[in-house]
Amino acid sequence: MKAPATERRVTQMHDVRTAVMVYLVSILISVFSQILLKISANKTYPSHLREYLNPHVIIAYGMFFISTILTMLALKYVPLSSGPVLESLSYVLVPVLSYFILKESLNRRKILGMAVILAGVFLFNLSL
Amino acid sequence: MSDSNKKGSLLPVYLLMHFGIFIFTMSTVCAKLAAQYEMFSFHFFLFYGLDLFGAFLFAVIWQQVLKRMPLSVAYANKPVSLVWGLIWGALLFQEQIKWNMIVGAIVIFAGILIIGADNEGAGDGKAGDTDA
Repeated sequence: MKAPATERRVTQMHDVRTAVMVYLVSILISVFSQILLKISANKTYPSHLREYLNPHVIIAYGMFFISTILTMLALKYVPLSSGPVLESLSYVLVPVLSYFILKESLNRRKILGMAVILAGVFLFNLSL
Repeated sequence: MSDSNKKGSLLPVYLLMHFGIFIFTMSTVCAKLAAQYEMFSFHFFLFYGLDLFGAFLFAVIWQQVLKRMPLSVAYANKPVSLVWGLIWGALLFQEQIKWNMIVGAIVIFAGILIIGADNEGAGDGKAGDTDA
């Protein structure tokens, strides 16, 4: 009677993998929303209200909302402790996208840091 | 060298930032709780609502923090959420914490600090100076 249990296990593994993919998409969306927020924060606005109510911030929060739904759905199968670890990939994505979009510098030290983060994410997920 | 003066005035910003990070981790806990319940049930909406409220509170705090320090420095502090994730995962969801997870978290933290240390020097004077 081993077969059903194995099958269930395989299904669970499949669910976790799909959920991790969904989580990664949600991270990508949230990274783009962070970049939009930084573009907005770099500008000066006439009032406090306009700091929040401008197209950049509104679109950024819309993307953030979509990413919360995806993250929540993914967390059904992804362990809570893995959440912040997967989100660490944004520390790799943000410098790379900041380099291209915000024209922020990307040097050897940053690249080293990004490589170390990737190694850490790999180490963490060895048992997933 | 007015750097020390600047750092002193940054203390409330750092405290606010870590309060924000704590709220952020609690909102992830609520998201995980929401996902355990049947979709569109009362508890699903309750916990997803709390998740959104936490995310909203975090977003307001984060926007204020970002105005006062470079994004990269703020990001260098955010990996504290790795520790919160391990704690809440083990305490609330009985997740097994293995050695490779702790080592992995430490390595990620180190990597983020490497990036953060780099930006603290390079970004000084660029952001936040004009509207302080």
